[in-house]
Amino acid sequence: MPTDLSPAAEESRILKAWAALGRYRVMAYVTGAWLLLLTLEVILQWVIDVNGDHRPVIGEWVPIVHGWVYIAYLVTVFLLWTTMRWGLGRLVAMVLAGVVPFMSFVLERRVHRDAVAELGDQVSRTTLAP
Amino acid sequence: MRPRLLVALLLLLAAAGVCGRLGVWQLDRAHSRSQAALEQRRAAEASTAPASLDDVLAPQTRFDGDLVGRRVAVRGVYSAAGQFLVSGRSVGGRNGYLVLTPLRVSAGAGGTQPLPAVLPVVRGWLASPDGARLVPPPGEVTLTGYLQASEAAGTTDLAAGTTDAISSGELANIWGGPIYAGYLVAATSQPAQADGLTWLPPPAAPGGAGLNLQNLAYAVQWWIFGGFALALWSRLVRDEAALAEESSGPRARRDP
Repeated sequence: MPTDLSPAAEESRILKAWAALGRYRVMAYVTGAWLLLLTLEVILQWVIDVNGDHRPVIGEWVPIVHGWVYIAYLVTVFLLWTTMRWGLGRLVAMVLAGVVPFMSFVLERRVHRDAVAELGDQVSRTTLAP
Repeated sequence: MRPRLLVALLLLLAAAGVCGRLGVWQLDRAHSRSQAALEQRRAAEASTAPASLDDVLAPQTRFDGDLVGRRVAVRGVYSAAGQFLVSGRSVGGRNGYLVLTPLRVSAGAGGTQPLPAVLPVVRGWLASPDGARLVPPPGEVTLTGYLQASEAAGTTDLAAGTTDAISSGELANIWGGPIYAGYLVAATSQPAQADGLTWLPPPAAPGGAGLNLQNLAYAVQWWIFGGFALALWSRLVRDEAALAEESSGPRARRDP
């Protein structure tokens, strides 16, 4: 990762990254949970067809709220991705994780682990820098 | 590096375009689904008994917009002498005439008007005027139909027996009041009227059927996704600019 900023700017970037990482974690879990609810609703409504005529079972609000939750998730993904200066592939993976059931939980662990490793690495280098 | 940015721009613009288009599609679905819901409501309403006109609208009172399309039943006697042809009206794409006949409404339980109130009734549509079909059923008739708001005054001379507007204000001068501030689009008549008149479809409420909220929300969400694509591109450009500045600046990059 390029770290071409002054030590003060770099430190503020790292603080921002930690905050972004926390927000991303929250939204990854919320989105993942809501996606499971949406998956259940889709199965009940479209596969099993509990109410007949493919009418909503849990509620019409499930897909609507998932849409807005996903948007909030994308915001946290974008902010984290920008401050961490990751490649495009990781962005695509994180964007997809919000719509593939269970993927956000799995990916969040990996992203968190990587981010902690990189940030820890950079902290030590920043404090050692002249 | 420039060509790479250009490719990214094209890709992300395409993505934003697709998102925009998907939003429009959802907006269309929002329209059509609320239209379907309206038709379903209409069908459900048609299977129940219509309201009595007395309960819904009184003569000489304001016609509220939400009455448009309301299904009502009314009893009364036509006055054939006051009948008009309304010109320039098309049904199913064919131009023709509406038959507009005054109905002297039979007094209900609470009817205290000295003169029976008159309700303009559109009895149907026909392509060309033909005397035999135009004679309304004599005596008391029972009608069901849909209420519609009165139109603005027309431009033709009413004396000629033809008009281009269904305006209660204008008609009251000829038929004599009291008059209802709306008219009935008849759908059934007991006893039946002469063959050859086509019933009009139920009038649509002003402003259409509205929008399905779920699809409206999806439309907005698609547009926000499109916005993300553009935001991503601006981020890429800024990164690129920062890199370019760095490499031309005095400070060399410290690591790869």
